[in-house]
Amino acid sequence: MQIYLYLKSSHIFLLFFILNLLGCKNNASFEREQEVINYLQKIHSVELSDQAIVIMLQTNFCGACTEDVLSFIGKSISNVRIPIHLVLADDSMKIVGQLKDFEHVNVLIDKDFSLERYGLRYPTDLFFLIDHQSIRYWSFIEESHFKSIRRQLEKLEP
Amino acid sequence: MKYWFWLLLFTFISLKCSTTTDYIELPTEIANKNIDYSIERFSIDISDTLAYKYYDFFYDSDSTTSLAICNDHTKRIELYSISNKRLIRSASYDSISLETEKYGKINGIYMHSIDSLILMQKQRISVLVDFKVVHSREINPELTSDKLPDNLFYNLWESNIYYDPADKSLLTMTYCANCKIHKETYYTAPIEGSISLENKNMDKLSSVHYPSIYLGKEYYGFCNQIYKAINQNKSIHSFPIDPNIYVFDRKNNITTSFGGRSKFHKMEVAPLSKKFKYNSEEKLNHMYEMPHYGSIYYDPFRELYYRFFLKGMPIKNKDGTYNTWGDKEKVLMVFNSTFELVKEIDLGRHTYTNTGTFVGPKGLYLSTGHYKNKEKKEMALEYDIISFNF
Repeated sequence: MQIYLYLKSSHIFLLFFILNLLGCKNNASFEREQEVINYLQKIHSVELSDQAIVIMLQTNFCGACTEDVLSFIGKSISNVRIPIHLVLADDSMKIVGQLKDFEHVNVLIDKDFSLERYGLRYPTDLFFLIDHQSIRYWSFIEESHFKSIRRQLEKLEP
Repeated sequence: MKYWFWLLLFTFISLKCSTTTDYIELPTEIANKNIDYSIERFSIDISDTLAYKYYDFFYDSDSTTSLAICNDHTKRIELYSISNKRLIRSASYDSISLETEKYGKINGIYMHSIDSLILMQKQRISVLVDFKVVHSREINPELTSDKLPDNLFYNLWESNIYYDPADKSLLTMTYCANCKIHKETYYTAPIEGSISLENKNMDKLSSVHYPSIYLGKEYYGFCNQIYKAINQNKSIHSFPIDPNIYVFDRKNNITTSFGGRSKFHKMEVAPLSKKFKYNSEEKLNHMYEMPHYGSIYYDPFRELYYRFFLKGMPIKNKDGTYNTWGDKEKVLMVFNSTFELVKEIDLGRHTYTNTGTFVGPKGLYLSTGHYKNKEKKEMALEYDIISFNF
């Protein structure tokens, strides 16, 4: 409590402002970042030298990969011009069919339950913006985060 | 003096906050008599992929066994003869007029005889003869209002439903749809009820609820499944974190408890912090990690009970790979009619699954359809029949 005695009101305001900014950055680092990179490189031989978007759809997981999520992805990625890698947890023909119109999307189907082995089988779909082999931004793909993901994608549009 | 005051206050608060539950784990009785067993592979070739949650089986007086499956891949109800190893007949969901928009998806199936089935949906039960609805009744009318009901007839966790001829009713699970899962009220609500086939005024909720281990301040996240077997007027309940087995006598409204700890239960169950109550990932990780008492089956031919035990395991292995639910090692526990533990068989992992497992005259038909079973045949309904011989 004593710290307040040494701070003027303007300092307190500044402190709150910085904390607020840090909070808005959304993103605590993704705890399994190295697993994401290893998974893409070792299982799918994906080059991650530049910027790329990675979307992991947890097909066959109750509550994941819903129509809302698919529709959001469909609308959001159409103007993005950096490589997009879309990982499907299994060979779900229905979803592959829905994504066939996006020619610039690299659809990757998980092999031998590798997503599970790499600790990437989450109950919610995942969105990553990767920049030179590190995750710059990540989010669960659910309605409450749609706005934040869209904001990230808008920054990438030409 | 001041120091003692604070120490006393701290002790008082700690005691006040500590969990108060009257839960006692009962000792597990071990049977004197050992039993041998044999395993026989059994399979039926099928013509299309099976994707199912709901199934039931039936055997005639001459021990002819049949299996009814709701196949979500073909969208058909399929009846198989286990004895003759073939599909007997099937009917599409559409032809049965399930009206899923109005009444919900299939939520349970009971096979009463080779040509008569009972189907449960969220808001209707239907009696089918030769795949034609001959009788139906709406259930859970409260679902049409804005507020969720306190007690809902609903089969959580794809459990089986049972017909009780004593009062012509369907025995199902119930739960408090209006309660928060991390609150005690959820665990004190009835977990079983019977839906009269004829008269909604005859619907009943039983007095049985979760055991007291769930009623304290501790929280166990997703480890709250209920597993059930039926032996005439007795409902046998098993819960993931509790070694005890609970036998509820529906006729006399009495619950008797028995110890049922596995010798493979080495890692103790730890509760989950309530700060994770809305965090599915933490709740899943906790469920993957903890030891888990699973499905329970009654074998009327040998007066035995079978119970799955899933060993505890770390989320992350030493080699850096991760484990999930499908990596849990399974143990088959065998109890006699007085719940003495007769045998435990280590089944390993990635072979057997409880979905599709059932008891027939030959023994326990243990489904080999685990999704990670590398020898699994896609176009076969395959089992290992475990037969116990006294």
